[in-house]
Amino acid sequence: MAHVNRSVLPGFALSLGYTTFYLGLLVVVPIAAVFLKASTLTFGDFWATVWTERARAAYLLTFGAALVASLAALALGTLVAWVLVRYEFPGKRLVDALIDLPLALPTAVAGLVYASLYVEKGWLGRYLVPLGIKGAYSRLGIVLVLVFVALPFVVRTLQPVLEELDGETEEAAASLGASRFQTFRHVILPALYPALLTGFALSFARAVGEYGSVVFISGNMPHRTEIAPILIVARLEEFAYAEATAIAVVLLVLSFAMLVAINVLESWSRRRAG
Amino acid sequence: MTISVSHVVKRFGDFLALDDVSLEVPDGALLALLGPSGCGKTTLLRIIAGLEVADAGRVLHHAEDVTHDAAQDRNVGFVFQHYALFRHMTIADNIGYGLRVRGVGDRERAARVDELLHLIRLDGHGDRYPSQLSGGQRQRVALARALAARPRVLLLDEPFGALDAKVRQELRRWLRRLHEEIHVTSVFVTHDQEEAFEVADRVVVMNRGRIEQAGTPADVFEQPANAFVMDFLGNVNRLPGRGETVFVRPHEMKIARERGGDGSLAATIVHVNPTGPMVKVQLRAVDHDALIDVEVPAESFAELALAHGDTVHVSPRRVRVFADAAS
Repeated sequence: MAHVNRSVLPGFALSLGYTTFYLGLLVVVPIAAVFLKASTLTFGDFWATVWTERARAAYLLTFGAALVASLAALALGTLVAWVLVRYEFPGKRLVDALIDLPLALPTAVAGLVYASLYVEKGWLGRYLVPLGIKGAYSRLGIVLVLVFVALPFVVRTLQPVLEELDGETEEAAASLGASRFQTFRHVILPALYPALLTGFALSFARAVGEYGSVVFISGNMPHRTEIAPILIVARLEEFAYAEATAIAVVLLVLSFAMLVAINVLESWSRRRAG
Repeated sequence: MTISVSHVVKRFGDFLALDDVSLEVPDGALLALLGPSGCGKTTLLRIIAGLEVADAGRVLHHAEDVTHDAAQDRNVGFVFQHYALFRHMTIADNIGYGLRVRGVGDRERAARVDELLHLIRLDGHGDRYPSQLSGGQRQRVALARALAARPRVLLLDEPFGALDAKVRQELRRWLRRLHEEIHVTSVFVTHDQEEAFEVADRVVVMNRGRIEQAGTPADVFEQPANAFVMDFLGNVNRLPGRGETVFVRPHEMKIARERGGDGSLAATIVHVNPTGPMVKVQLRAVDHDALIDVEVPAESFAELALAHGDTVHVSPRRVRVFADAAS
């Protein structure tokens, strides 16, 4: 009997082939190269490179700032998405379009603009610095630019989910005697958990990988405001390629582990959400 | 608990959804708000629940004016057409939600949830999620959730509208029996007259934001107040009378081989549907090209030996005339 193709769109084998080929070319080969290059070091050298006090401070700052920034982006982004979905106001379409700006703008520009705003003589800095709030060349500055680059990921993840929220369940909660806060806490928030986790994961990943804006606002002081990608560049400038890739390997492993953990959480909460 | 609505007006932009509506629901009644879509029945129900605010008029639950109370303070049970269950909560948590927000203790709540699970015949399903239940089961859960905190009134918005015919039939009977057991004053919205007549003990027919007629199912069906109600409550023939239109139900017409007296019309049989105890015959009037529906008992259909294409004479046994029938 002849082979019968029962799927509506043919071409599974071909498209899967393409997918794996491109994934291999674009993702797997470069990452393998990183591991290969790093493996030219002995374990002792590797460890001595990646576990210096300066490197540890850089990892901590990279992941710490990304964590704080993506949490802030999560809170702010949820609010923005809520306003965009639930309310009508003049200029709404403009605001909606502005959300994507950080995705298109070279982030170095954002870093420069933020730095010039928050320095002592800057438009914002001249009021904030006397209050002890240093937004430029500080950890706070890093968090600020990371929130800027991460925000669209949260908003764009939450928007469709909020649009699909069915107002009837909120009315059901109200008719059962729930206060507005209880309705939000018990009915709306649990329905958002999977999207919140996805938004968090995306913005966290984006913030860990961010380089262009941070380089301009952080001041890149070792031990204080130097993030791991900048440390890699520092090593590269010393022509220490193997050492640079060693740090990259650590970053890769840590990021991958965190993304896996978030994904597990996500699929668990999606199952809960039915 | 009686519900009274007096002179309620509601607009959505330019659209007048409710036009000076007044309604009394007696204590313990099961009342149906019946009408075509867009007639304002759901809006009226939502105003009684506090989910919508009237532009003018008052809503009283018993003697208490609740016009300005929010939904959460009215202690009503509301059942939505598409169930509106909390998808991330188990069945037991859904049913117990009204008690949870009222601060009822775990043990008391669990006992009440079990009682309601038994009432809706879903014993042992408490730890499942809504997605694991069928539509009919979900709607029963929604009903149990609405009843858990012993509401003063139960409001249902097209509760069986999303279900298939067989389940709908079952649930109608079950709701009727449930109401006989618990006697909570209930109002339900439907566009299906059969459903209204089968479930409710009082029927209110609405059209274009106004109440056309209110009464028992028998009142409304036997003595329709106007042409709209007559037309809406079942199949009806409009026949030319002496200078006016007369309304005749298909089962109130008879077919004869011979020409009858006054009011008899010659017509040709164009379609016969012989299923059921009444044979449904469709005819086309010879003189004025109108379709006429007639239902005759199966025996007389057989006696007359009617067949497609025969020309016969039809005459009404009972006619109704309405002053507003010009339309």
